[in-house]
Amino acid sequence: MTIIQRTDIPKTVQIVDIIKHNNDVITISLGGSLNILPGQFIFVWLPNIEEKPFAVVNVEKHLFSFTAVKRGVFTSALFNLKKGMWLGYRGPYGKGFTPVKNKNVCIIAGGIGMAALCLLYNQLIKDNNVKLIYGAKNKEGLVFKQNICNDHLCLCTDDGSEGRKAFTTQLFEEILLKEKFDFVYTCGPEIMMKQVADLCAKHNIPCEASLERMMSCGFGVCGKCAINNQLVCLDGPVFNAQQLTQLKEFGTCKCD
Amino acid sequence: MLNTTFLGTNFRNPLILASGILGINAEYFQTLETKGVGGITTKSFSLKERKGHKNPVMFNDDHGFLNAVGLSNGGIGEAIKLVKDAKKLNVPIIASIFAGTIEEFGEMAKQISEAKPDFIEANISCPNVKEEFGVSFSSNPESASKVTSAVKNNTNISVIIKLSPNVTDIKIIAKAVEEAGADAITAINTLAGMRINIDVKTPILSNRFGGVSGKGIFPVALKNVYDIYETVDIPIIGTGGITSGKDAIEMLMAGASLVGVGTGVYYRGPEIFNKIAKEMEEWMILNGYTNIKQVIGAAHK
Ligand SMILES: Cc1cc2nc3c(=O)[nH]c(=O)nc-3n(C[C@H](O)[C@H](O)[C@H](O)COP(=O)(O)OP(=O)(O)OC[C@H]3O[C@@H](n4cnc5c(N)ncnc54)[C@H](O)[C@@H]3O)c2cc1C
Ligand SMILES: Cc1cc2nc3c(=O)[nH]c(=O)nc-3n(C[C@H](O)[C@H](O)[C@H](O)COP(=O)(O)O)c2cc1C
Ligand code: FES
Repeated sequence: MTIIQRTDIPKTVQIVDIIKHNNDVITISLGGSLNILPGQFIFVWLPNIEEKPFAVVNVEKHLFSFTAVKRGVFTSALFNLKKGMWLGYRGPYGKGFTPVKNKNVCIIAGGIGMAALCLLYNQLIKDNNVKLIYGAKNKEGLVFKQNICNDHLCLCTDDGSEGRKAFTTQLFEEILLKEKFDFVYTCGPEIMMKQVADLCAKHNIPCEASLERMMSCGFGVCGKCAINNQLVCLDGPVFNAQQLTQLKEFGTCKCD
Repeated sequence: MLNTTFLGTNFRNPLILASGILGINAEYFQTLETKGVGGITTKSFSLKERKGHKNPVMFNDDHGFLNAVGLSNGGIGEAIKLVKDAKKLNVPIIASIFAGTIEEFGEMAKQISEAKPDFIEANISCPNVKEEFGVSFSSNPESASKVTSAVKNNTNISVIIKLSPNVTDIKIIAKAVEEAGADAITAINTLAGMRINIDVKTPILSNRFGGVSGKGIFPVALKNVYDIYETVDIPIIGTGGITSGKDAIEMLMAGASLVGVGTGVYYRGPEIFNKIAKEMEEWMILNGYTNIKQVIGAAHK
């Protein structure tokens, strides 16, 4: 007999902390416990406004946080929230990253893409040699850098306001000349991830990338997030190199 | 064992993807084909593009699944492209249409026929769009009958009319659409419902109200299909709350010729079609049935 029980209704929790990193980036911490794997995501519900998917950047015993960049209606509204107010969430959803052990790994993060890599980074540093290439348009975009150990970090910005004036993919290419990696993880603008995947293919390194598409449900019903014959919410958002080569649309999304 | 015919078209199994679930992407239909779907209904399309409601547009509580997508769709142009692409598959395609007026229903039928779907399903029952559409067509026999004639008069393709359970007596509506020339009936669409979050005193669906589907509505769907079977001679696609092989068998016994699976995809993933098919076959073997047609209407004595 098949017994199927699932519940996916927004659960309301109170805001316990708000950090405004700058005018465009905000981290909100919610009271509650969440069992989430690196790379999975949640939906956040702002009552009377909207509901959107977000990565989780930090999980503690009775608290978890997400970080948002101001883009449109929803993310702008986040900046008006106060501690103690109620927000809803549901999830976690999706297939996360495959964390390895006792390896040389490289994480390549572009802009807010780092949000999807924070939990992974914290897990990987426990038992791997980790290198993190972290780039953004400018230094304001590097909001997670204080959470990362300097020994692991290579910073770059498009305008040179912090770290090297270069793209993450340029740094990655240079580092590949000197170092060998067993595994690469990436999240950022799709064009960047495509280049990373291509470089990994060239150097025969297994890699995983976390993709983003417009979503409505997060659990494989609405079909909105389809990329070729896969659903980003259900089959992803993390896809491995082999899957990525099958996704003709990968690298063509102009949504970043 | 599961293969069957419906209005002269062959189906490898009676399991149809219900309208509005994953019904917008032809490339994903390929995935569903590999996962055992017997036929595919597209999302309901209108002449003009519609944006639909803001999120939250769907969620699942302990009792049922709620949605108020707002009939978002890309309009007739996209519908034609979708059906044409979907026709490359080896499973029959049902194009679902809806409209705001009788004339527009006729126009939709005419235009979508260009893409040559195997069937046209007219969604006259969607409760999601406040008073604007659907509700009035399906809630009285005159308008249901007029829509049916308008669609029939504009196409040579077989027409299925999808009925709403949010009516006093679905038998009267079923009879009316049969008399107006409908080739088949799909029942049921969602039941009107809502949920409120008590911490923020706010309806959860952005549209406040929506439609309830999923396991909780199975007994309701079954009763409607049973009643319709007793009333009309045209075949029925029984839809609502089906998640297992036994549910599907039960729905066939109530009088359905095919069964629609929508929210089941949520509970068991896209693999649900293969899973239900396997469960149906196992049950049939165990109980000495060799052909699915032996099951249809078996509960009517
Ligand atoms: C799995 C997943 C994880 C995500 N994690 C984060 C995160 O950790 N932090 C974060 O800031 N954002 C994240 N996002 C994006 C986020 O869900 C919102 O889409 C984004 O913040 C814009 O919301 P908005 O309402 O403010 O903008 P909108 O008013 O919706 O739109 C502003 C602009 O952004 C575009 N846009 C909106 N949504 C998307 C989308 N999903 N993909 C591409 N373009 C879009 C619109 O077309 C428009 O041009 C994630 C998305 C997904 C699918
Ligand atoms: C998210 C969602 C969207 C739907 N969209 C449509 C639609 O566009 N047209 C339609 O006729 N029915 C639509 N329906 C109704 C289903 O096709 C089906 O009749 C109903 O959900 C009952 O079946 P189920 O319990 O198997 O889901 C939708 C249902 C859901 C859950
Ligand atoms: S977001 Fe609905 S199917 Fe992926």
